[in-house]
Amino acid sequence: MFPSILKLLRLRLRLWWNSIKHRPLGQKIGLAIAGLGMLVFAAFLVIISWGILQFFSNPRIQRELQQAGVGDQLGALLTQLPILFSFGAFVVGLFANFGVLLQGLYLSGDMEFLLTAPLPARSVFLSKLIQAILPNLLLIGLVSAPALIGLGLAQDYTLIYYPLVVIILSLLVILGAGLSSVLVMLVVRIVNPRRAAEVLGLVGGLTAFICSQSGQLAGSFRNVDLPAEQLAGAVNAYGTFATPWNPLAWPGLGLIAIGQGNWLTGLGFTGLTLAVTLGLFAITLTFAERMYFSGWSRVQIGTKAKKRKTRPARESAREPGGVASPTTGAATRAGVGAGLVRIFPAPAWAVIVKDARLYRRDIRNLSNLIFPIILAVIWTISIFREGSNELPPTMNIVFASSSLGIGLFMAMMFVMRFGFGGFSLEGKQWWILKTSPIRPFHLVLAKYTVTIIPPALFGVGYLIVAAILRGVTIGLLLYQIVAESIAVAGLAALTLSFGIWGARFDWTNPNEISSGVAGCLGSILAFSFIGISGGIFIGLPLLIQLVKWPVGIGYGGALFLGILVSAVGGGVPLFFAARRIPQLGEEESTQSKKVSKKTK
Amino acid sequence: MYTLTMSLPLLEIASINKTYGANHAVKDLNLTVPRGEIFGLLGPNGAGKTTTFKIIVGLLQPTSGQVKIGGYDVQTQPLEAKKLLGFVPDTPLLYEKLTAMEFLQFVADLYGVDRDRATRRATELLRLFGLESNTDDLIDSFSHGMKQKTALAGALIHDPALLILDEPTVGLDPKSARLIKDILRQLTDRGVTIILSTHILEIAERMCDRIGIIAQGELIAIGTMDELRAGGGDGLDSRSLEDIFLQLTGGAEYAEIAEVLG
Repeated sequence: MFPSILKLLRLRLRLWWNSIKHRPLGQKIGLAIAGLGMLVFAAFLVIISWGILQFFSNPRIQRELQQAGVGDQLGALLTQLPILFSFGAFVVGLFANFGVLLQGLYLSGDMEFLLTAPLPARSVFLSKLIQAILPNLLLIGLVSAPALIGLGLAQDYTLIYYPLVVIILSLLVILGAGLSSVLVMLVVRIVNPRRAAEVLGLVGGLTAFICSQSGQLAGSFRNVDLPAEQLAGAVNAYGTFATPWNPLAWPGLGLIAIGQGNWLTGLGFTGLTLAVTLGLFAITLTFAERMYFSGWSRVQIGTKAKKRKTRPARESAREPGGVASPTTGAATRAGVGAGLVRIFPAPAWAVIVKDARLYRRDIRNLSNLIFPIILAVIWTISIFREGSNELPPTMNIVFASSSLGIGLFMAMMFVMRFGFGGFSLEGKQWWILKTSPIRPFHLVLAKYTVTIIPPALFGVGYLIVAAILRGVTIGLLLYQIVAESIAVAGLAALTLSFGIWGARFDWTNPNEISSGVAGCLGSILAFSFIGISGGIFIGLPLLIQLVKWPVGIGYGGALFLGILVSAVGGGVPLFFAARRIPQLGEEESTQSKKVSKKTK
Repeated sequence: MYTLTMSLPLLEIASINKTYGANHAVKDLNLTVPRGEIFGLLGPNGAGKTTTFKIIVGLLQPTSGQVKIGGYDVQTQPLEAKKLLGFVPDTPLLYEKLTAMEFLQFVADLYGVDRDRATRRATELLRLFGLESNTDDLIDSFSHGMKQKTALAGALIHDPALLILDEPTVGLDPKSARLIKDILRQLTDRGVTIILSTHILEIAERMCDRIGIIAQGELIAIGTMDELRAGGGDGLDSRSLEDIFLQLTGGAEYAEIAEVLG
């Protein structure tokens, strides 16, 4: 069996190497720098964790902590860090492997090919498992291991502690992967694998985003005092986790004991860890393997697709507006007034309705759209808390205008997603529009509408909420709404023009939609556009007020300038980009380049 | 509004070339297909069939040459030409998050089909293709064959004058394949022109009025079955399309290889 596993791993290695080998030189250099950066980061972690622990070992700091009433608990907590890190390695193994195993076992499409080859089935399964484990081992090697090595250096642990750190962490990742494989089978039994991958992508994206923004949210609660008793209570709660009765604490306890030279205790816990980890891994592996090959996980339960509630065709045909026109049943369901719908030509309306459905139904798109909403919630909480602070009257305009700045920034995040990805959203289905008799103008009209409506609605909604919370006058709120609408209109045109220029129809993951030079350059210009618009709509009225001119001049001038910037900065690029639409999706450029290269 | 001049051939291809660097995907291809004809384009893998189809439907611009559908130039009058056209590619990549009915309504809107007619046609076509119970299911839950049938329904919803089908029977069960063959025959009876490519030579032999054989981007033979048989110059009127195809495309040597391997 092992030669087969090696063969399969060699295949993976070859695929990985080819994916690097065939990249442009710039990307290869970038990857090499990233690899070097990771090594430097690991070394930095060793030094920083050693330094932090040395710092807390300082008698003066310990005295201060004792006076604060948390000295003993904190000291114990730091000593017991291996328990926390080994638990973390297990959790990473359990959850991070889930996505990789789901992809490898159900979505990669090579399982049938491999299983029909004359290889032991177990070797195929094991190679998939190893394939899932390797990236997580790398993660552990870059984060947890350096931190624990730093801890060992600070605590003068015995030499055997260091290799044991690597062994124990690796074993925990492997155990996590074994349990994860069973979890995958259970989930796939209930949910379609593709749907599970979509949900996982959403959850992963949200978690990463919330983590990245948690600092901001925490910042808004910076004035909240955390009593020493509560801190001590939290540390004590951790202490109850780190008991010998908890199997999840055994790996860490073993590491600490061996590090401190308590050989008997250390060997006991480490032996228990090894036995339980390897035993559980063997059981989960056998169990998961059986479930997979018996087809148990492929026979889904309780997932019969619910019929969408649609009115019978005859009924919708009888209604004014019918089905296949701008005033379709779909339009009515979407809640759009028939009068508004009639503005759009039928093909443009068809594209709008279709895009709205695709954005709504593909959960992967939702993950991109939900980020601005989370930001809005975080910033609204910040505003609510700031609202209690008294500001000098001269600063009122800045205070009130900051919500316009935030509104513009959030609208930009929406617009960038819809604008850059507007045309690429068509993906491999671009042929449907390309072979249809839709006018480029109608297509631009549809994509522009899809780009502008969500951010405009969201931005205006945010401004209204912020105005209520801050007590902004109706006049100023109206100004902000008009200003935001003008900026969004220009930005939508600008991003859409880059969306046309950099349209790609070969993506499989929505995150790849706006990558590339167009996406990068477009992002820089979008940020610049919003910066300039912010400067005009916020800065100009402020400047006018400072020089004691009538306020109306400031607002009027800002709106005039804003319209000019939007027309030139958005309208002109879109006009030129729209001329490219008839050529979009033709493989000529890429294929001819490839062929020319080969012939040279 | 477009008008279809009855006296003109529905499809006229004049000296189209498509080159990628030094590689000729399509070389000086000329073809005229009249109304109501089923024309089969055959050729080995990589011969240029799909590239030719992509040029006809406007997915690719030819390096040189002209394609006219119903008298309209695909390059200079694309909207008029495309209104006459229905296309089903070899891989039916459809919007997976739309239901079958929503997809057909969407396509009908793109082609400006009257609202009542679109509803009626969509319902009819879905029933015809045995998809009436899947009307409101998302396309991502469909099998390859169901997607193929949905794509064909989409191509037919606006009553095209010219139907281009790239490998229409691939992935279909015998019943569905037979259904599609019957539908195509009925369509030609109503004056629809069909151009299809297939590797199943029996389908081409039995269904097509004329057959073109393309190899290395060049149309090396064209005509009815009788004309193709006569073109061999060996007086063998009983030759099958397979024999003719292998003789013309140089595939006869593979039989020898198979013999050696056997």
